[in-house]
Amino acid sequence: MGARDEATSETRMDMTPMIDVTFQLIIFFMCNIKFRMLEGKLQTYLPKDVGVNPTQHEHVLEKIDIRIERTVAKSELGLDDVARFRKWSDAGGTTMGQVRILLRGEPVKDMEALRSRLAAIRARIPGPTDAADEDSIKMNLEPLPGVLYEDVVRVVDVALDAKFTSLTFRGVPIDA
Amino acid sequence: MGQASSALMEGSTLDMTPMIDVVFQLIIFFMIAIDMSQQDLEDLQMPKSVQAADDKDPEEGRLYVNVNRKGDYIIKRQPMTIDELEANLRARVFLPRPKGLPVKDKDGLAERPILIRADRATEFKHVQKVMYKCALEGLKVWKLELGVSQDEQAKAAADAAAQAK
Repeated sequence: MGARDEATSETRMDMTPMIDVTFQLIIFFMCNIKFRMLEGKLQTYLPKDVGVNPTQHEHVLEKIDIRIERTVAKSELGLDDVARFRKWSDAGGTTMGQVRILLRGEPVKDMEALRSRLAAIRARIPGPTDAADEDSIKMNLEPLPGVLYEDVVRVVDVALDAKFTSLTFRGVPIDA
Repeated sequence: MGQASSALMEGSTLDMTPMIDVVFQLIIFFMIAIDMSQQDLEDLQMPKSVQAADDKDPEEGRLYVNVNRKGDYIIKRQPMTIDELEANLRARVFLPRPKGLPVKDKDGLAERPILIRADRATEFKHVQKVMYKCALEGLKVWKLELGVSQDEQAKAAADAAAQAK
């Protein structure tokens, strides 16, 4: 009987290494986890009525074209320029001055000028009566090669602020 | 003396079972949380936006396309070429949607939106390439969502200015 007790106590498992490894795992996962942050989204559309998506022409009450282009020609832009440009952007600086915005073919000075000009255009358009009318006020954005995503988002932001909600992208990348 | 102290030691043995149970539960939680929350979302520095809508309760099975600043296309952690991306979208864009939502509209265009998440310093031409592919025959996606991070400070300032008016 006494011998059996001894045998039982000898076969007891040592849990210490398992607990060590388990805690290591927990620490690893805790350090690595990044909970999903609430992000935002900007609703945009591709044109339904042109190019590879031919459909019947929709009723368009007003059409505003905005072109975004680099002030530096792409061929003149070296890799160093791109790196500097990005570093500047990362530091929270603005990329205005590197890009030019043309509203209906006319250049605008900066984002504030774009905002006020868009607000003036929007004020001239009779108020939409329903969602269909809202969609009939079209804004076409044409970012040319070399423009950064951030610049486009800035323009979209200003357009939405001026109550242009039907945003469409035009233009196909040259080397698509 | 010796017998009494060893009996006392045996009596004070800690029962580790509940602790091990809890620890394993924690490990399982972290493993699942890491996988579910990050599979679609690359670590990108997205541009800030004031007008962005909250991306609350995204549709189950929504398509995500990540574009990093080098112009690489990444879906579910898998880098791919633009042609592979097109094939991936073709395979998934017309799958049934939850809650009986329509897959196509009356013109045959895909109703399922695609969220494009790009780094703020990504050249927009890479995003445009995704748009170009989306517009191709057989895909015909026209609803695109541009992923941004919300500029809470600017939004609060704008709201305050609007209220002051």
